[in-house]
Amino acid sequence: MSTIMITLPSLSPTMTEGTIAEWKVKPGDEIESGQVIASIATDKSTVDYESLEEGFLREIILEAGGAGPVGKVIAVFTEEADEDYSADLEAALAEETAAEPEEEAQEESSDTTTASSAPKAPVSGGAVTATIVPVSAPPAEIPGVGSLSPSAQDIKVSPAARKLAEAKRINLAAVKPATTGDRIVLNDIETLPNGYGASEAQSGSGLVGYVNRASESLTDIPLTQMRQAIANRMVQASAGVPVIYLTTKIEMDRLMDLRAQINSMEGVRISINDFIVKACGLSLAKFPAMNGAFQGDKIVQFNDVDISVAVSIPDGLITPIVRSADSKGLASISKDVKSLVGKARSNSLSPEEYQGGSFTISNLGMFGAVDSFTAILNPPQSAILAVAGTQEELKLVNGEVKSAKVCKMTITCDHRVIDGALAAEFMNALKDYLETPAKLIV
Amino acid sequence: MPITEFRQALNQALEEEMIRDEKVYIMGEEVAEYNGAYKVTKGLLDKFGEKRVRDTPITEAGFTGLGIGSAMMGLRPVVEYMSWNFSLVAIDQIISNAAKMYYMTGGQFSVPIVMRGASGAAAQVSCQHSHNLESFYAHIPGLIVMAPSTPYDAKGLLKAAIRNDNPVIFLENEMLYGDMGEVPEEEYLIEIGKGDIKREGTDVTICAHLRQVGFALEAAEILAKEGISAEVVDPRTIKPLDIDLIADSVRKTKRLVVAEEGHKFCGFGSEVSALIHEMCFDDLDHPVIRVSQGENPLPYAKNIEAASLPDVQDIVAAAKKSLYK
Repeated sequence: MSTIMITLPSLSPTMTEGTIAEWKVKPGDEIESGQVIASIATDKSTVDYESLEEGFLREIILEAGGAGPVGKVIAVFTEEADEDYSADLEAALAEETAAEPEEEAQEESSDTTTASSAPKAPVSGGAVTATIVPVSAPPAEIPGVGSLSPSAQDIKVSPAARKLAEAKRINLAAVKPATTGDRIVLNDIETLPNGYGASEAQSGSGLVGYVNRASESLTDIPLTQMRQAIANRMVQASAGVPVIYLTTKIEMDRLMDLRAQINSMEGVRISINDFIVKACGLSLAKFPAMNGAFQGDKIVQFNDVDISVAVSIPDGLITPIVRSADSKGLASISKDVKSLVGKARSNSLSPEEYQGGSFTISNLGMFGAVDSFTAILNPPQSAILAVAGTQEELKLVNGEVKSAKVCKMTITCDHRVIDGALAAEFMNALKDYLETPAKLIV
Repeated sequence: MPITEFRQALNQALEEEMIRDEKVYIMGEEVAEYNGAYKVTKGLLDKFGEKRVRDTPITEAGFTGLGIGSAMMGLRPVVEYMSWNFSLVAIDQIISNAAKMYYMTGGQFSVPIVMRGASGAAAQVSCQHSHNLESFYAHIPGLIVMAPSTPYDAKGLLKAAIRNDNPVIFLENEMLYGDMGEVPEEEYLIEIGKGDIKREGTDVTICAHLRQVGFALEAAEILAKEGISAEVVDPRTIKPLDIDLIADSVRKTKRLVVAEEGHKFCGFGSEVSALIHEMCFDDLDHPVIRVSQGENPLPYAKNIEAASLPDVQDIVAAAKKSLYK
């Protein structure tokens, strides 16, 4: 005889809140271990979850569409079909409520590391907190890489490290306890740039930076979880990270001819972006130093060339990954990209399909008006390639005027990892592959 | 500056103060005819005569009480214990009379007595002869407790102790008596309650007194070879304690190791640790680490005596631990 509280699990490294997209079971159902009980929307996608527990689902606490913090009780199981669970549930919910004011107080003191809403101890009355695992296992953690470990709420910080982090405006929630594994210490903070991980949006009402603006003339748009995640990551990427930009013009005529030939074959349709993914893959394999991440006291180099491709979706932006882009053929890359874009647009990417890339391509070529642009890094990666639209331009060849289809590409590099000369060599290689596209096939 | 032996520096302090003030006199077992068990009082009987350098029977409680009474009447006795271990039979005189008299008489009688001698472990003198009593005496309001580590500090502090109107517990160590160090020819005093930075550093503070100072300095040398810059702070006076000096150092280095020869529980290191956590909580990158003697009577056998006593490697290990290394 026992009661089991089912709580909202942490399903991605950045997840602090989740929304129940759908319940797949209903009160009274007998649940088997391994059964999918719900799908839950995280900041990145919607994932199916299976229960590790077995028992009878007695009550759904957080209905479909409801959102809550990680650790919130979302349902109650009991071991027997008819046992009384009301006292246990009451105790669990009371504990949850008791935790809330504390959290607010911590937020007021801008303490970003210890806010914890997850009741960790088993609730009273013989009830236990259940463990739920995602159906698709989270991606294997790259050592030293990743913005937050799942147990970030439990991470300890030495007082000296906390003081220095405050002085440097560093968001401790984004810092890994690399020295000790469980406590952030001075050594972890000293090497980070000012403002590292700073992501807290301006809080409070009204419009910061404007005066004499009637509130009726403003519309507040609440942040979606994805928008918040994008905001956090972009601030993390731009705050204090020294970047360099290199731009090159690439003549696309030969590539477009080749593409026309390939696509004239029955059932084949390779996009220009597929060629660019392949060309980046080969160039990264040639210059592996471009394929790394700055991690405080070391640079972590990725042994695989996994290219994140930025995909625009109604909610914002997501970067699914083409794995091993250096060794895959164009047809295979094209197939991967089509499948990933489809999943991105239907919110059905699994975490390992968008977490853990080593390099990003942002292609705005389909917007003809964009001549050139620069992109912000996709942390913890060290480089991102911005691909603009292709324009027909005039050029001089031995004194004669010729036309050429020109695409401007700009790479953004984390200068802590990549120096200008290396980035220039990479761009040369990329230009060579794209202007002599036969090399992408043979 | 002349290089002087530790025991000689103490001898100079006694002689200078006896010349300066005829109320100063010496009393203890074998301090006169035998020149002192550790030769600290060598030659003083010849210079000042038996009225001012007096041998006593083996009666610590008796001659301590005699000293306290004479101090109340205006003399300035320097009482030598052959070893501080023997002060335990006089501890009622020290605590109930010397420490409390000024308070109990409403300020009518001060007790300007200095009690000095060897303390702590030496070389295989076993547990009854190896007590570290700084925590015992520093616990009692009304006593000043000194624990110098160098000939310079010993001389300057002993002179200051003799001139102070309060009872002073002056702790020496047998293993330090032969140490050599610079002692100036001109007269100087060391302010009571003023610590000293024995080595400057930036990464970790090591607080040590008496014999542990030398160990801490050796540890700092070893740490330097590993790229760790240790600061060695010697409080010199246990009470009143120069906690501000230690705290300032910790605010700089963010880490503190307290090395003491005595036991850990309720020890001097515990007090420093508590004070530093109270004063420097936001500056600490690691909890204060205490290096101290094992929780056992100090064994006679050489190997387990060495295993029980804190040494250079213990300090090195603690310093590295404080840096998570």
